[in-house]
Amino acid sequence: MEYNSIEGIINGLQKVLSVKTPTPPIPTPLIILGSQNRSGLSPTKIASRIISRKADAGLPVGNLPSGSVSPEEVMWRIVVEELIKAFQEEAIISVGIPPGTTVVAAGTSPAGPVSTVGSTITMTKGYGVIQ
Amino acid sequence: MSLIGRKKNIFTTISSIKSFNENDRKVRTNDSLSSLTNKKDSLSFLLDLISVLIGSGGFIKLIGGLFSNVFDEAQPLIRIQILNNLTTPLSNKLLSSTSFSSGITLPLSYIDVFNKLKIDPSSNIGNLMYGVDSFDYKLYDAINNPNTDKTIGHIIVNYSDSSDTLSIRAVNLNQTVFDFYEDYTDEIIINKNDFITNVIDSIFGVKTSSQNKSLNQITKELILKSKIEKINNEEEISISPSELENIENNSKQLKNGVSEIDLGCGVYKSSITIDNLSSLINNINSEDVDQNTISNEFSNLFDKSFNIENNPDAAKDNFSRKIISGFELELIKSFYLNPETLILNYINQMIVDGEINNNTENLIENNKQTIGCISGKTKEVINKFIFNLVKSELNSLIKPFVKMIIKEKINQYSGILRSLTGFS
Repeated sequence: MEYNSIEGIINGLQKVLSVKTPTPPIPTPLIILGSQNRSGLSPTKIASRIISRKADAGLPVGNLPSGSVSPEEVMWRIVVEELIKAFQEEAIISVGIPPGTTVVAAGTSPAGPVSTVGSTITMTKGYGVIQ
Repeated sequence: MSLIGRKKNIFTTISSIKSFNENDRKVRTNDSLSSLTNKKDSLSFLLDLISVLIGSGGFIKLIGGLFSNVFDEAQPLIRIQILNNLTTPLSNKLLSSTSFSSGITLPLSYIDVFNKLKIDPSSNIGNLMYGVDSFDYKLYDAINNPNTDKTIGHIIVNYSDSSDTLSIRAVNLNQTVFDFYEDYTDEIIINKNDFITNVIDSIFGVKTSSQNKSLNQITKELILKSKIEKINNEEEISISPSELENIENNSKQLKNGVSEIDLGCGVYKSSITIDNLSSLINNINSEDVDQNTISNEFSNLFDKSFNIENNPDAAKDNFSRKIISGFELELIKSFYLNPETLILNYINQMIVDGEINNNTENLIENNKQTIGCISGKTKEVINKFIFNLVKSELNSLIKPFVKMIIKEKINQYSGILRSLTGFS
């Protein structure tokens, strides 16, 4: 490391500050089977959880002392609704599948039915939606 | 991203981590830090980081390490740097076959640019400036015994009081130029007493004002120091008229024994005495003194020298910053502008050019490259020390933050698994 230049020192500090905490992968069968158990996104549920956690930040929860509905809580609901709507209606999910996926294929030939076992040799692209 | 932007980013990241650790979720941007506007000054950037990470008192903590570990580690590295700058195509020649074979004669003023060598080592101030049996001490002895050959390390010196010149020749002419340079630079040792005295003097002027120097001498010395500071800051060396005016005003103050110091939160008169300086040196310059003791002694020196009621912590931090900057500059100055290195520089001139450059007014300009190299090496050693302290403080700061992130990731992961398996 170059200690006599400001650039060297900044680079060294950025290395110290770049905290890397890798995330373990989720097993593929669990994703395929388990994703069907999920309920999907609900703006109402999310907004109500955020509002109920306002107390964590030391903010009052519920109606205003005058009895009227808190405009801030209404605003939270609007924010969450708009975010979820954007995720569900505008988000693009692209999935890149690397080569090497094991393939078992069956087909026919003039000699009769054939089966083959191999692996993909090209990258594949997939699409998805958020629900 | 620009340098200033990258620096700002580091301060903001530190501030946000601190906020998370302290749970106040409030990110401070530290726009007021001086190093953000000072683009290339690495020392002030590192000092600002110490200030943000350790807070008040961090600088005093640094001083202990600088005057012990860094001072000792820097010396051999700077000696090698000086030797590298002296390497010439003539390095393999014997000294006897060079222009230096019959020696050189130098006016004393050429090598005693800070007017040290006529100060009696047994006087109060002299006692703080000479190491026992040091090169300067032996040179003083040679000056006090004119027209007598005195062997000092690898050279023989003879002082002529009638012409105020020194005749210098090599002890052994049957060695190569490189071997002579190597042996000579190996013995360049900066005396710690003298060094500490000069660092304190660069702030308080206590030595300069007690030496009865003429106004002209003081001004010349301040110009030399200012030029070295400019090289260290990678600026143009020339002194502008307004800078010269400031230097002349400072010279007058020093001559009159008045030293006013700007400590950031006001200008204060210091009341430091030679006795204070002597006590500081006696307490910190012994073998078994640790870093904390040195730091405490500098802290005591501040307490003795100033009576500050308004925000004393900020004033002490500014005082410490001045000591640390003074340490860096003094290391360059002590290595290059001491009589021992200057004599070697003139010997090298004689060997390479066959004559001595008498243009001593441009001593710094003529040796800009060498001084720049010494400055680079000095920065490297000092910055490395401060960087390691910053790094260790950052690691302690990041540890709880990383733990928080890991915990968050585990929770997220188990949440995803629960949502996929249906177990809650």
